[in-house]
Amino acid sequence: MLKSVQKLAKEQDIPCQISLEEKMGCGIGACLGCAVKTSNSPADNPSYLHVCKAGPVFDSSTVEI
Amino acid sequence: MNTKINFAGIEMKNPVTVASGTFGYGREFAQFIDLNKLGGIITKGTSLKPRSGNKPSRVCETASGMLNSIGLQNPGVEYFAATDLPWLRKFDTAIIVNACGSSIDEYVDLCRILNTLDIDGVELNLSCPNVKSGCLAFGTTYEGVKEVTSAVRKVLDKPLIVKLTPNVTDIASISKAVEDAGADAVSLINTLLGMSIDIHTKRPKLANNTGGLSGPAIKPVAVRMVYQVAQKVNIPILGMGGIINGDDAIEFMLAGANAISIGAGNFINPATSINTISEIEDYMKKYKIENISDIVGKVEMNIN
Repeated sequence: MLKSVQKLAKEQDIPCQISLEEKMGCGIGACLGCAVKTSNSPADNPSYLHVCKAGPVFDSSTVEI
Repeated sequence: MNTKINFAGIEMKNPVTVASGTFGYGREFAQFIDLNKLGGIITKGTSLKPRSGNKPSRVCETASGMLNSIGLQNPGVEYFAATDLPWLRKFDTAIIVNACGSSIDEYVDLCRILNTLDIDGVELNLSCPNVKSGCLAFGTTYEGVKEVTSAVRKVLDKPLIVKLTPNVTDIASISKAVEDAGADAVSLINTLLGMSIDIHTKRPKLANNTGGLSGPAIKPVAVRMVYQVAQKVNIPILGMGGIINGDDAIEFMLAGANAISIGAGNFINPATSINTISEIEDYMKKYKIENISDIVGKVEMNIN
């Protein structure tokens, strides 16, 4: 569902925020478990944000889900 | 009552450290606990160059434990030296850097840099089960451990601790390679390789398929391995694997650990390490133990 909303927002150029879930170890930004890939980083050298600290709500244009 | 120890040349106010990869570089936990109270902090695994880590999902919960496959995500040693280390140095606790690499050259180059930094020691990571090259590739044979440890020893004057994997047939013989290569201490255990499957999607819960099992589930395995290694080598042991309170810590020390690390326990309660220190003191009071070092290796085995 989030993927579809993200896609629709992009197509229609609508500002959109999405609330992500990911399994967490510590929940405070230390273990780096709850990673989400940033949309502007290359697949062979990905950059990750972490849902516990950078999220859980993200601008839908900034993350790859 | 004295909880101070000298671990492989590193002065610590107590034998409680926090394990690599469970505590970042300390900043997040400083919101909850006084880092000055810790015997030492073992940093997140740090490499020569930044590493982005593995694809998510990276963690999942299992019975009395968890699986992780973070893949050594870290900002690299230069960033650490410029930002995290000066911050960590404000605290009165031993700073030990967990060092990881993909080749012997990389370990050596990294340790050359670490040797110039204001740190108390290096924990050489030969045991991460979640990366494709290096680490585990060296850590599972006597020859591999000896080769990389010897190479690092030549460029590192600071205390050198080598962290071993439990994913081997005979950990005692591998710990001997650490001693033979001239390292100052051995730390064990890293995580046990595991796997968990989502029965509804029929896919492994971790994107990397397999991951390292930690938490109380692995404690009996870790205690057994610490005991076996203590029978084999004369260098000090940093024991870890499922410790979540003072009783667990004492158990490891009786088995032969000179100091201990709290790993997954930090995730259950950010104050697990601090609570463990006071629970060790309670035990010392109860049994009238003057020096905490006096209990190391004092398990009395059953004779059969």
